[in-house]
Amino acid sequence: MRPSSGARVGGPDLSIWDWRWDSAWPAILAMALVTYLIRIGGYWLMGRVPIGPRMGRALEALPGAIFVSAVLPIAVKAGPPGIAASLVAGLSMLALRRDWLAIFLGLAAGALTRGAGF
Amino acid sequence: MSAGAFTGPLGPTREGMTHGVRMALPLVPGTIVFALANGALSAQTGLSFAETFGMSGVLFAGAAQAMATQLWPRDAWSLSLLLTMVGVVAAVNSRMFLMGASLRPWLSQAPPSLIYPHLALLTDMNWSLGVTYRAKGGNDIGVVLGVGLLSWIAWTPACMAGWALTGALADPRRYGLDLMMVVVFSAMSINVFKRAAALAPFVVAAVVSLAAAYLLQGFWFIVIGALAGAAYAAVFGGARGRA
Repeated sequence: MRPSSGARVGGPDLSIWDWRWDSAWPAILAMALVTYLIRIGGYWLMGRVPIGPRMGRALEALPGAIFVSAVLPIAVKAGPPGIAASLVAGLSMLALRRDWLAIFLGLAAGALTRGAGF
Repeated sequence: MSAGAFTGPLGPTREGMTHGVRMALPLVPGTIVFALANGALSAQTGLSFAETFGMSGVLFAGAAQAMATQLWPRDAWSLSLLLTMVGVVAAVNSRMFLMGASLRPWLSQAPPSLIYPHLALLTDMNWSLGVTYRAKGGNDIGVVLGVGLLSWIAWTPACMAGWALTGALADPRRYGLDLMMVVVFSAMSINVFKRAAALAPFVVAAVVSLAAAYLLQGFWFIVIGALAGAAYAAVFGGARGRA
């Protein structure tokens, strides 16, 4: 804790925000803990709420909805390389049914499109 | 939702884990290169070997690690910086909350003492391979657990190697590896979509996530779009109806 001047008058004492330490470990452990709580949180929560027909339909649609929401904005924002990588990977999987080949072709499409200057 | 739609033992069996590892093998080279780049970034930012291990082996979340490393302080740590980094990491990882929720109907058939420790290894990789396998009628949770272990074994040592080697791979963009998640998810989603009864919830997710990506900062668009799609399915139906 920074030594207090003792002369602080009025307003909350915010000196805790300037608390300095020379180790990264409090931050690393806090980030790891929060990430673990997120990892188990959704799973835990779904065990505490009744899974009726509505929640069942929501959970069934959830994986596809996560796929779409993670891929589409990132691909669009990445521009032509992102869109090419996503389209080639998806269509290759549809046509060839080999995931390793689809991923290889998708990455290649992204790298080549970027290499071509897009 | 009926258990009868899925075949085979719940596991986790050795066969299930092996099957998962075989599904994941094509993803391993890309994971290792991304990890090398992450370790190199870590070294260039000035993290020690032990700190790099803490980020890679304990935090264990590639994109969040990279974001947090870019916020690393030059001199001393402060509480406000710690809270900022925790917030950024939580935002980047928020999708894992929904991934875990989506696994509940399947994994909850196994004892919590087995599932909760293994959820520490929940990543894009074992989630996407797991739901693909599940969509095809698979029942063995060894697939999720096996791929989780494999991803840690591929990721963490490669991050440490990248820290030690530093340099050559510092720019994952050059190899198109920043598009890794886009490519893997695009390929993995196909089997999930092929078995969906209606695509309307996914159209909703597409529109909402795109709008959120342009209106909001950060990575919240993933969670917002996914929740919108799931909510649409809850209210209007549209996911596969299993008799």
